[in-house]
Amino acid sequence: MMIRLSASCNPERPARRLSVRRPRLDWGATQRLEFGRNRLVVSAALFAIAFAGLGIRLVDVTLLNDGIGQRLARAASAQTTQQRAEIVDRNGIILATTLPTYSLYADAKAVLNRHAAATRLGRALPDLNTAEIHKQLRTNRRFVWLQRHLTPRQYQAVNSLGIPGIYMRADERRVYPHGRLAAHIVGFTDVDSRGLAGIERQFDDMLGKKRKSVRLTIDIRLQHILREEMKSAIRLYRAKKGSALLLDVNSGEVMAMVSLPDFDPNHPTKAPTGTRFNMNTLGVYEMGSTFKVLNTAMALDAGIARLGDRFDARAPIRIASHKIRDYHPRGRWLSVDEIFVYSSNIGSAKMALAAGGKRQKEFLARMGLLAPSSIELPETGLPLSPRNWRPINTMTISFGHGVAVTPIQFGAAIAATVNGGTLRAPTLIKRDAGRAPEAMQVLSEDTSMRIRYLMRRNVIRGTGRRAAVPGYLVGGKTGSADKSTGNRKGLLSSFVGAFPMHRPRYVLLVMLDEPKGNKETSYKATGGLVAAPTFARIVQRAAPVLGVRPVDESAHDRRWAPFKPGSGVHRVASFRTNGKGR
Amino acid sequence: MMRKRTLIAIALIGTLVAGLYHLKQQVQGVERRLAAVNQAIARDRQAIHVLRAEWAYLIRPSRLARLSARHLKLQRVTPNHVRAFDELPEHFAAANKSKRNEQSAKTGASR
Repeated sequence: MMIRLSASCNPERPARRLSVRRPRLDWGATQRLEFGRNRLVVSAALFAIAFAGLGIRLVDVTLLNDGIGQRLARAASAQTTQQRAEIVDRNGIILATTLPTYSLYADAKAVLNRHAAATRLGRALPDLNTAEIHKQLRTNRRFVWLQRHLTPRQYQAVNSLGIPGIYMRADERRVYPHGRLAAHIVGFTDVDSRGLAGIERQFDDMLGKKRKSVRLTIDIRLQHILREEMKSAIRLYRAKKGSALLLDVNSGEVMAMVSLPDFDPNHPTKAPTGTRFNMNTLGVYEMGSTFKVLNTAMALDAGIARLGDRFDARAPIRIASHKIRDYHPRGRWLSVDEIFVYSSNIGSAKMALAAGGKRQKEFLARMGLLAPSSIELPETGLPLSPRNWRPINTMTISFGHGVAVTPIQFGAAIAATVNGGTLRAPTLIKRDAGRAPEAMQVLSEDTSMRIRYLMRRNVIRGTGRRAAVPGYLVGGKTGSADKSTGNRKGLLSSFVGAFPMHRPRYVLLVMLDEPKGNKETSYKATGGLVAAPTFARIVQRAAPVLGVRPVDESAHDRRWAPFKPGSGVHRVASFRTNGKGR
Repeated sequence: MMRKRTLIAIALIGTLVAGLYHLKQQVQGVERRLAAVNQAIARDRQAIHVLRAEWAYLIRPSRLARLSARHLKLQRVTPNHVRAFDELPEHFAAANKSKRNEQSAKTGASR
């Protein structure tokens, strides 16, 4: 074919070239037919190739290559609006979410009648300041925000006005349906949904960029119980501040955590100063007598003393210009369990001296009290401890003065003393079942059992009697720390306890800052008088929610019998026998 | 012979063209529907999202406590209200006994 065609174009035979367009009469009919047929075959073949190509491609796209189609379909159906992810509580209840809103802005140059526009907008949106809008419109700028985050109803109202130059654009807004309830934990964001505090800040990338929601360990119902009871306790005892913290001793999960006063994360800029302060994680406090739980655990675990061993608590200790006294002096030798139950400062100091400052420091470090807590919040306080650990420090630390820690790390340490001696880093992030955070054995199971006995005994007949809740086997320790700030006298009254004491599941720490006594408490405001009853009220309400079954207390309490201390040896401990001098 | 072939070819082409046109129309229709459904899904998702937020707002514990106090006559749970399953027969026996005692006391008084 090609050869023939090119032959017909041969310049040596120009006459034949013309014949292509206008065949001469002397051409035979057969020749002409042949020529026409060839033409047809060529074009048919070309069409056939083209259609075959299309057909193959069609089969390829529709039947063989379905992967691409599926991917395209999935891409098309994917959620078009990309928003910051949610924060939910342990039961999946939303604590923070992002809602689509519309934000109102103006192209001031395009607004025809500024006064009319401002008036009409003001009528449609009563919250808006008409004068302010008018001022904004007079700037003559091409873009001015008039109002961020309109509700759907407001959007409708503005839309139906149809003012030229007034526009709205899709926006999103962070919303906290539960408001103040978990404000210190969840935190808040700025107007452009960037995390500024709490979980919002700690997990800003995960929530904002990866769009992955965060599930917390807290339970909104417990959070409510703690908040309500702390609020009424603060009112009742006219305290300045207050905090409560509920920990699962076996997983390290923070079940609830409140710090009062609190703020509304929906309007963080309107929060009064100080209300954003999270006492539980950011504040460091000298815990007072509640620290004796740890002091006793240290002495028992190191074999310094057994429950029945006695220490000389006959007279106050004088050291340098300090005097260590007991609030209820017994004026005799006290056994370890008596020191605990009567909350003897003298006895505790002697016990700590017997153990020595080095051991004490090592012990507190092991309990995670000398380094910041690893809790998943940016607001984490740095614990304070003496640089030179002298005997005077050792003595005051034994009853909770001289070392300041955050309540969260203190609660975790107490959890370790009652749960069999396993220290778990407290956490706010719910993990999948069976994936508990790493744990460390810090005390023997035996020591833990003895501490449980002491804490229970303290509630049955010691300073913690008002913390008792029938059926829930509460055990704990009171604390009333003198606040050493300035010349003002005030107490930090606290109670730390666990329940049910025969197999502890939860630790609760209640703190009241500068409470005042009332008639009911004989105008005293110690931990046993104000914090312990608050503790009891919380346990009473929270235990059913936590699924703790009430038990026959007397039957369980009889089982402590083997721990009842027999007559122990008299231990002599003083800074002189300690041998280190001061 | 030639004519027949041409006719067949034309008929074939005609059928193919009609078929292709029909297919294309169908695909376009399906695509439009897909887009509409996708949009509806996105809208519904957004609505669910907003409703979930509203739900979280409506089940605030403080609000539930207020409503419960107003509409229900519930007491606070005390340890006495909690019984294990295997304790139930005992519990009911005791309850019946006290009821019977009450009744007999009443009838005794009316007598």
